[in-house]
Amino acid sequence: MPTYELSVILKALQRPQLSAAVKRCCNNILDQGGMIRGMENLGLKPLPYKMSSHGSKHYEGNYVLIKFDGSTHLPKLIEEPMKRDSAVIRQTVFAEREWVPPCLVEACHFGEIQNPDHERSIWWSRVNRRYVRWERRKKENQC
Amino acid sequence: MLCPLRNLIKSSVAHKVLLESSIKQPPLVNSVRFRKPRWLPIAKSKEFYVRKPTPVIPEEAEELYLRYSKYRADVESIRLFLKEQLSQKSVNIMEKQEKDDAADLKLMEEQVKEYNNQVAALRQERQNQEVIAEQKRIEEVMQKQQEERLKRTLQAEKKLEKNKAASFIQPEDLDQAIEIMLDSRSDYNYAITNSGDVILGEYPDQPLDKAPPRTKMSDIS
Repeated sequence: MPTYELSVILKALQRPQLSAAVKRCCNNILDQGGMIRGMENLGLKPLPYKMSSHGSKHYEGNYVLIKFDGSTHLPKLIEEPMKRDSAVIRQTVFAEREWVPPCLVEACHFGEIQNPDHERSIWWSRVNRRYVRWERRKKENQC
Repeated sequence: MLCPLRNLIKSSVAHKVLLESSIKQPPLVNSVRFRKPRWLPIAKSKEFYVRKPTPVIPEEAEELYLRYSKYRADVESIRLFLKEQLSQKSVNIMEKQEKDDAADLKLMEEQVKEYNNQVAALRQERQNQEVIAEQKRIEEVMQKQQEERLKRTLQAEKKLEKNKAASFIQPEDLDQAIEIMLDSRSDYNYAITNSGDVILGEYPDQPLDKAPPRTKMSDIS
């Protein structure tokens, strides 16, 4: 089962209502056969722009992240009940990917890993090795 | 009135041809036709003119008839004889041609057969080698795939164990977990400097010592 992260913006509610809203979100996931790994609270923040949902305008919201495991259909399944929940302003599900240090993928800007493409000596050794192989192959072809 | 034929000859290409040939002067011929229109009556001088029949000597005519018949028979017989001979000759030539052609064809067939056999032997050899190479390749690929599969299985098992180790929140503990979550506060809105220092973001509503764990890039690699 893949891991997903549900990032949800809830209304600026009082504590008991907020905990009830989070519980509803969690129950949505649990009802569809998901398993909750953990939750994170990013706190009450002003929204980047005025958002309107369920007939009212919002200027600040509670940011909550819920990490869960489930089938690949789960993100689609929990979408509709979340939309119907009046405490939810916005919700999105992201697929969790294994974190790979960016140096392994692209050029290393901070110099923690030697990047062969940027190292003169390594580049030369590579070129030399390629040349030796090329020579050997040429000899083999001649024989 | 000018002679129409002469006019015609003078005006046409034929005249040029004639001039170019050895005959410099075309013959002077008066055409009888078109001399007078059809509705004009017979000329006065020819009104009672009766043509005298050509005198025929019966003996001579008979002789001529006989001789001419004989001549015609002779010529016909010679013509037929030559025709037969010619046809026979052509038949002979055709027969010879056919024979030669058949011989040629036989020779060519033999050559082609020989060449085909030669090529077939080479092809068979090559195909055998190809089959062996293909089998080898398939075996290699299968082995590689098996190794890959094993590797993936091991990885999946590792992942599964990791998942097993992870503590999922049980539905009974949900209320408690939510309370803990609401009490805590995490903030990813921070920057890391080149030296690895963490600079908190726009809304650092918590002291620096409670900030997310300091991560240095040197720890990652």
